[in-house]
Amino acid sequence: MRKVAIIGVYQTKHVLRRTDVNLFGLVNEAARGALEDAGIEPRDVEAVVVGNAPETFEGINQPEAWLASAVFAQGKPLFRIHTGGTVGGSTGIGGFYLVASGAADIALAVTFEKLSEGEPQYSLSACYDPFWGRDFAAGAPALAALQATEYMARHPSVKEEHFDLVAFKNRNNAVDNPRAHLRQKLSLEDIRNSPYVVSPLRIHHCCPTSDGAAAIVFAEAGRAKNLCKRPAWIKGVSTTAEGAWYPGVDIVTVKALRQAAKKVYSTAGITDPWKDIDLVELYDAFASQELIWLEAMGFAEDGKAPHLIEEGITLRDGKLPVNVSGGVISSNPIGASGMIRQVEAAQQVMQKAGPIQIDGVKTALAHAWGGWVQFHALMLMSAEEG
Amino acid sequence: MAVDTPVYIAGYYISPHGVRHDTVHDLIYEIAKGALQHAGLQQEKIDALIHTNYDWLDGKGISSLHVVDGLGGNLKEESKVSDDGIYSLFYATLRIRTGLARCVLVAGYAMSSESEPRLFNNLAFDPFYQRPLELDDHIGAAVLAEALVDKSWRTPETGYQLLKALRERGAGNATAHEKKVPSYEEYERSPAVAGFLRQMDLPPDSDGGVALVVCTAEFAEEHGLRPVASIKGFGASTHTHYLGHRLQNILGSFQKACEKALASAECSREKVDFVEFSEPCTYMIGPLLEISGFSSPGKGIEDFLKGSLTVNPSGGNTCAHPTGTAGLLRVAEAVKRLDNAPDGTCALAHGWSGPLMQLNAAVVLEKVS
Repeated sequence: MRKVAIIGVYQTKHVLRRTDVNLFGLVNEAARGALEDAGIEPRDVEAVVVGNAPETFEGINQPEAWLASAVFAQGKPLFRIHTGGTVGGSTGIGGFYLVASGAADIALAVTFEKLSEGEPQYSLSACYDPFWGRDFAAGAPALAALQATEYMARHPSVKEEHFDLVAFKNRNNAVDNPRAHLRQKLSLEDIRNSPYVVSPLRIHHCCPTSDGAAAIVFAEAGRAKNLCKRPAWIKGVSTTAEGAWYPGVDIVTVKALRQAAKKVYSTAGITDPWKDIDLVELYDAFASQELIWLEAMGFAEDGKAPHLIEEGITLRDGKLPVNVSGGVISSNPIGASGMIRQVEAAQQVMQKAGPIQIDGVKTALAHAWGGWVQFHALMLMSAEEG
Repeated sequence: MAVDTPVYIAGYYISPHGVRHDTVHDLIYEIAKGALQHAGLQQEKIDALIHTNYDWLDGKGISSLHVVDGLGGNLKEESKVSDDGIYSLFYATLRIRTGLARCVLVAGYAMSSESEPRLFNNLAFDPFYQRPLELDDHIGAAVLAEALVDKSWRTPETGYQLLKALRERGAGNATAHEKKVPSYEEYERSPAVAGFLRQMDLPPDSDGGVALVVCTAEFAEEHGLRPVASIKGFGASTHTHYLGHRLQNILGSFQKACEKALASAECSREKVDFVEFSEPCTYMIGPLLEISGFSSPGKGIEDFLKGSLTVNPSGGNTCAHPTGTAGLLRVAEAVKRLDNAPDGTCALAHGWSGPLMQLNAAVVLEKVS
């Protein structure tokens, strides 16, 4: 397998509604931005992969067809990955495979969502089975609330206050991130007193709906070293799925993410994630999920993740900064959100994170979640070629 | 893309096509189980599942959420690739070439009868300038045919000859949707749809699916599998979306995909024993032969009718067309023929997606003796 590195990244400013561009313009901004960041021209890109979440969000079928010129794909292989909320992560991983396999020396991966052009919760409710689930479907918060409730029931030491602390950390991290959507400085009281969306999740525990796009340029080793002073080298990837209807599905002890982490650590030669990983960007669409995902990734035993936030370990100046960008609860253009985690992680490794740069980050882990609680994508990257 | 790490197809399954009266879950389980059984492999041995279908046809957002179980993807590496299943095969090949996967199940399906393909196809056109014109895949086929088929061929007699030739192939294909060879009178009574195209000139909307087991040589040997075909070369290319930008070469991406596939396989056209094209209508067989270089300009339809090259021995899209995975079906039909027919060792198969064949992919396959 060829070595692959990220040499250019871009994410748009995420907002509730981009009125200055249509979807084509939004996607083109991300693609152009990533190429400029990599210092290359559209002609240097040999293959393109794009991704977004359900097409029902924008009401456009086969969006890669309309957007082909926006991502400079004319005359090149172009395909679209579609894995629900994970898609930002799995599309980035698609870009990795294009280069790692030798199909391209330089590949562009672009993801996007313009949620202001549709009604996201209606679209998400349409993901439920038409016979058995749709009558009581209520978008994504109800699913996350069910997961959070089960998490607390199984581990009585987990309290709503822990979700408050996670939200307080991430929402205030976003204040310093110029690309984040929600940058309002919040007190713990603001969060504790915010109304419930679905108990136990309050509005400040929940992600917004955003317009935004992200793009990454991947290159093989020779080109990466020529084009980029400090690329982010990909050390391991996984896109693991779990059947939604499979017997034994556990929405708290998430098998798919555990397996994905095991695979990525094994590929990268990591035996102790605490020792070898400096920073995590994970898909916290709801505050409770940061704790659940960290346990699945091996950073805490089952039910013990709350101590990470209680003790300040996951704060930006803690031992393991988590979501210093503000995470998904601060910006959520759904189809791009997984790739934004990869972009943020890469920028930390490349020392290009600007006002939210953490000193000394050499290895970072980016995560994405999608589907029921069943799709998980992980990408581990390092400053060292190895 | 040169496929320098040998990639083999060690199992395949093609469901019967037509209007099904069972559920999508029955269909996906049937194709996954069928391909694994054909390969002689248990589900736990596969490393990854790469699959394709349309959310719009399934009537569900993130429809992959519901099919991962039935397709054998539980706790496997998995991705859904849109919009023709041939791109799933492309992505599976990438994964195998890295060594991070050794065996991938590739699957594609459609339950076209549960939806309205024309309506959802219209949604693939630019929402501002093209969608209001009510363009769809049938009108797209007519635009292509009007642009590329010489007027001298646009006669009911030629149309019937093309249909008859393809339907005769379909009649011999147990999994085809359209197997009946209509009379000329029946063809004449077929309603006009768009341009000079009649309903019978266009592919049916089929329910059906296909799955392939793709693996490395070492994996096949370790598990006692019998590789049927090897993937020798892959080509893919994309055209612009707007039709006005394509006037110079309306099927430039199809041409480039075929050229790339042949070049990467280091295969001349003379070595190709048969082709499986994903034709948007019967008349387009001619232009596809010409643009891909298998026929001289203006000779495609004549060559097809004379049988100069074996084209779409399965009956092509004209006889079975599961929307969104017709290209993968063409690949599977080519593999089936390489496996069973005595007269072919090398094939080219093609698939496309997007309005008016905007995105194209082609694969060169070689029989494993």
